[in-house]
Amino acid sequence: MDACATDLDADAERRLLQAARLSADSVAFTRLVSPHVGPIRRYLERFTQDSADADDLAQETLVTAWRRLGDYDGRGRFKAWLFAIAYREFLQHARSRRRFWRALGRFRAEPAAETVSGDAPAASSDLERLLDALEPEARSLVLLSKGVGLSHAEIADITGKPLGTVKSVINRATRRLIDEHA
Amino acid sequence: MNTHESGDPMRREAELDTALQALLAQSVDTERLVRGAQRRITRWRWMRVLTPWLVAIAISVALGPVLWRLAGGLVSTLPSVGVKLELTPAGLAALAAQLPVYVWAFVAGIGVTVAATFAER
Repeated sequence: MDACATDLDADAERRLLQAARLSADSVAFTRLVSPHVGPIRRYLERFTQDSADADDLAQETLVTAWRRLGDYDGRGRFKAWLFAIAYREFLQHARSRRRFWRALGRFRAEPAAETVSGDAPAASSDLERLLDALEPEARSLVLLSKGVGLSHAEIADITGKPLGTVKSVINRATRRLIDEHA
Repeated sequence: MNTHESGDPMRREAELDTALQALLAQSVDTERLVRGAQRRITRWRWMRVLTPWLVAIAISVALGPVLWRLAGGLVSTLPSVGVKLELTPAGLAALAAQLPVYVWAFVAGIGVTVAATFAER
């Protein structure tokens, strides 16, 4: 299984999708998802603030994608479908983490949300620090829009938020990033 | 991205887009992640096939002796309660009426488990 990190054109993506879906071809699946693994991992890292958690969630995203490949109807972009899975994996992870800290809270105080990890990757640039200072929701939407290149409609679909909300959150976050980063 | 205090908003936004794209495009050990995911997928495939059978076997092992005794006791008492065991629809219906409901729930449970296994394939 060698990971191919080059972007795929629509035809190649369709062929690989068909092979992965119809004959459960894991090599085709690997080639199909490989161009998106890096961005998904980076996207998740900006939320979990933990490299190991980001690795774990990225792998779970791929496992879920493999299991649900039959559900992908080909109407939207495959990339958007994968990021929708990654987004849900993160929400699930955050919920179980909150439950864990609530349960543990009977014995000791819950740590602040931003410092849950002992293995937080350092923000290596001003931009990363500014991103991390955004509300998680704004950070997620602005990354999906500006970083991944998804449309506002795709993001609204992924997050289940109204289109107007998505647009205004992204615009506000973008203005803030531009103003503070300038 | 740091140098455009007087740049026009469109250009600054385009530069922000580029910087965010570059941030997500930073190199990641894709092969390691994909290999890990493949291992999980293999484990998941095995578990999908094995789990229903393991559950069914565990239930059977746990309840088997009890059911065996129940069935033996039931069959031996059938004549005394006026039920004659016959392998005909009517005979089997009479037997079914005598069996406790949890026996049927157990049989149905095994049936559903086995059916689910085949449906998943």
